[in-house]
Amino acid sequence: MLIQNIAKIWKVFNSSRKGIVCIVLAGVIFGMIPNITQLLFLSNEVEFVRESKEKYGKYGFRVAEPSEKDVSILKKESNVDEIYADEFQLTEYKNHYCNWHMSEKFDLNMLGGTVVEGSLPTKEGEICVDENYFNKYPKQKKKIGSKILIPITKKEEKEYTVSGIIREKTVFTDNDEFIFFVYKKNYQKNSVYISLRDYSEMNDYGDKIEKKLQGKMYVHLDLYLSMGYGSKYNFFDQNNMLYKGLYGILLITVCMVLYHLAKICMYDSSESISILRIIGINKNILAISFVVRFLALILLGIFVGVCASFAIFVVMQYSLYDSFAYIGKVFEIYSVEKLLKSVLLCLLMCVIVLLPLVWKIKFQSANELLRKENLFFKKRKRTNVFSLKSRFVGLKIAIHEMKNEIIMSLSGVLGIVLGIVIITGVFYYVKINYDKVEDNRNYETVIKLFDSADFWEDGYDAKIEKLRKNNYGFTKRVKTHSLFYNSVQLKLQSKQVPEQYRKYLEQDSTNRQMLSFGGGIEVQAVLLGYEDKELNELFTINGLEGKTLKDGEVVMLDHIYSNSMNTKDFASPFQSNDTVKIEKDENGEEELKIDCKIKKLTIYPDHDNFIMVFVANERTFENITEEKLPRYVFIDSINNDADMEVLQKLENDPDISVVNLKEKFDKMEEDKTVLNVFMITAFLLCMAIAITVMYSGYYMKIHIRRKEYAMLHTIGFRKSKIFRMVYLEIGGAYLLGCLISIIAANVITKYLYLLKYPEEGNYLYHFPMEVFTIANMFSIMVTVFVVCAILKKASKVLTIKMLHEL
Amino acid sequence: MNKIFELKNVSVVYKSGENVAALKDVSLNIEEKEQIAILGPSGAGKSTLLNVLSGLECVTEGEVLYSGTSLYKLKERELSDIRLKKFGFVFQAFHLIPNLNVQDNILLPALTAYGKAEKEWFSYLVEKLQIDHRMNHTPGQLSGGECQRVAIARALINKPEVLFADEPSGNLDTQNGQAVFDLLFDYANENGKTLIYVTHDLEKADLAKRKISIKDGAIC
Repeated sequence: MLIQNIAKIWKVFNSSRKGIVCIVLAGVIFGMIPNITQLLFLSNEVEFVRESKEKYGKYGFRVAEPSEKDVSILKKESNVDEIYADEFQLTEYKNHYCNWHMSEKFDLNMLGGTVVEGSLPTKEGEICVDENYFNKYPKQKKKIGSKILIPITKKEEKEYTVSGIIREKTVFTDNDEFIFFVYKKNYQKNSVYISLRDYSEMNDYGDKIEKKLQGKMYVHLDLYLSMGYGSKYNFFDQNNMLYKGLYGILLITVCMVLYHLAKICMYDSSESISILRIIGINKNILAISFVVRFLALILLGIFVGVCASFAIFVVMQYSLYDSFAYIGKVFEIYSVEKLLKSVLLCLLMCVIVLLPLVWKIKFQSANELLRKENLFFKKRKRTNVFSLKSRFVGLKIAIHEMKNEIIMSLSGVLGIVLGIVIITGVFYYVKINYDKVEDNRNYETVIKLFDSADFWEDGYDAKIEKLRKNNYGFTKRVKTHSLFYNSVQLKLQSKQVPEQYRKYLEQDSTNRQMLSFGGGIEVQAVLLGYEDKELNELFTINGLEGKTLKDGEVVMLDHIYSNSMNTKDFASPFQSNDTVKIEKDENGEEELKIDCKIKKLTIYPDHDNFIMVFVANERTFENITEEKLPRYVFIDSINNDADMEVLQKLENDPDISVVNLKEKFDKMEEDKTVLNVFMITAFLLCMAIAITVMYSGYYMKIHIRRKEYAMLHTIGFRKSKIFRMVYLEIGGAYLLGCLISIIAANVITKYLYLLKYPEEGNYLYHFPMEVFTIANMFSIMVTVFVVCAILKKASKVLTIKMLHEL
Repeated sequence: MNKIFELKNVSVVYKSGENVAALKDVSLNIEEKEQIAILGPSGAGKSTLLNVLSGLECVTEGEVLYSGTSLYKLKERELSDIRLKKFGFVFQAFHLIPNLNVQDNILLPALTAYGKAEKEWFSYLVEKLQIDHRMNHTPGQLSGGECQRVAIARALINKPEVLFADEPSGNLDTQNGQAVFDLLFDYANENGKTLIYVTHDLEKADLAKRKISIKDGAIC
């Protein structure tokens, strides 16, 4: 009986097809948001793990000296994907750790590394040697088939035939380890390597397995660190927090849209509800029908949304990888529970949103429901808006409406705040992920030369000097740029250290002590030496054409430098004409005058840490560091065969390391493809939601007050005056929303920044005014577009026919 | 007496699915200071005729002249000004602004038109209409009769040349309904203004000196 009654009442409520479509569409968004966000984040995780595995090797843990029981335990583990075993030995030679892998057949996918020349060993006495070994010991003959002596222990060496050269990737910038692959028949399986299906809880999982195997586990450090374990937030934590933040904001936003929609729905249905009440339908049945109908439509939308999100995801993945196989990997870790929880949360939010309206159905009389304005405008005494002499009537009405209908105004303001914050957050996230770190992208190749202090082979200096004089063997068409580089110690007084830099330095306890007692502090800096022609280029790109640098003077980069993140807002602590004291050697100091500050360098050194950078001319550099040779030589581009041959010759020279920068940067761009797709999809989703919340807020405002506008038009208000009133209300709401959104955007952007840079973020973060401004301009554009669309609709409302209909 | 309105072969057709003619070739003259009741069954076109005269409903064919000026050839701004300064409107459903109090609702047209209201005229109206004690109340707090009196005060605040009323007593009891008509006629008689109203009630129609009966969109 109840269901029959509800079904009958539904027909009355469902009179507006447009209303039904809007509610279903809101449900579609509700369904899509959690699912597509989860799928996007999972695919991002899967891609990241795949890349890390490809780079460093698949295994997560190595089990030393495993028993048969240990192996059977591992095989039973559901999270263990693959198992591989070999004979492993760790030896030490001249402060270098040597990792020996011995087997008849090696699994490089598991262990990591790429054979860059030759092949893995297949016969007794053959060895595949780490490329790094040849770099550190250039005297050894780096040739396939040659016999070399490799130190097995500190005293003992063994001769092997080189079958191949292997390159091992590592997260450590200064890799002191070597890896050797040796063919061995009847090898002892003393090490088992396990790769995991899910790396998201590597720490907990490692602990769990370690307990089961009684402490024989070693983590794969490269993979472990590359995933961010060991720092404040690992990659998975970051993703999870980002997912929760994004989902939370989107959920609130969709709730706002729903609230607006439900209010419009209630406004449109109030007459039907009151008539049903008058003819004797129980108000509880009416309230239940209203809620159940709304929820049913939302649920239908959610179902469509979930299906659509799967479809979008599959299409997106297929277009990226040309295969469905990869999708399976995402669904291996996909959580249906998470989806169901989020759907239930959405429904709960719907019920919460509907409660105030149900309250009205239950507790307002039929007569009050019939007079629609009583639903949304409070009946109470009001102070006068006008006196007998009043101008700016429209403005006063607009302000009065905003002040008196505080909930409706606030919901509009909140919609604007959410819109602006989402747009700012999205723009900012894109910015910090795509921010160009200062690098040598203008150059195709870099030649890295040895530090003469570390490399003492006779005649090395003379050889490099000769090469340098002859443009490294290249023809004049090839432009080379030499970079002299050395670390120096600087003395800073406590008062010289700016707040932001102080916070950074105070991470170190010694620094903290020294700074808190107001004493001097020693910090490391980089002194770069530029040739005169390079200095000219440096001044030109910094807008200082024609400037020269005297001996004993330096120029300073105006921000602290790092090539791992954008540090342009981290100002350097000195000003032009300041003098810096640089420790020359153990006994003396050299005073250098800072001639001017520059915004960018032409060629950048490799430096992950934050560091001050000074540039001197070649003579000053040599005077302070006593170094005559450049450390890097950058090459613009090589376009002819003769120069290509020279480059190949240099590549084969054991004394020189040649890095193809173009390949490196191209690979970096390639790696970003998935991130691009992920970002664009998330970006579009967020934008759509932000626009929807703004649109629904403005639309609700006009929809509910259209009778008022029609009446004003009837008694002689010009259209333009009514529109101005709408503009004023929306403009006022926008202004207030904009002010509130500054605070909200500050919180959101800091949260995003700290997620990306958990340590450095604390002292590098500043409010991204430029992003906020762009987001605001975008929001204003959306607002103007939306308001125009709404006003176009509103102009149809300004007719007597509409007034009578209402 | 001067002609204040002249309708020349006016037709109004609503295009919603199939065309519905609300007015068919209506020609009509209305003199200044006339008091006219428009009569007719539901759907006959009474309200449409009133709306056409007051510049609220565009005509499909024909011409509506107000003091010799073609109403629908005027710009939107000029037509709005006429409605604001020359016409007054009283509706069956009152159509007051729910968020403004009684005083603000009454003052709204005067302030919009001139930036000020005549104090004496305002005081006279609210006293005569017996709503002076309700100035700070919102429409939601008033009875139907009170709402209609506020609507009349709003219609009269600019001393309109023509007063239009669309079934002004339709939502009121007999006593309140009669009071409303008394007020409208008092204004028209005392100030020598034109009154045009729509009613179903023959008794109320008899109050007017001229009656226009309309059926199926045509004057009969």
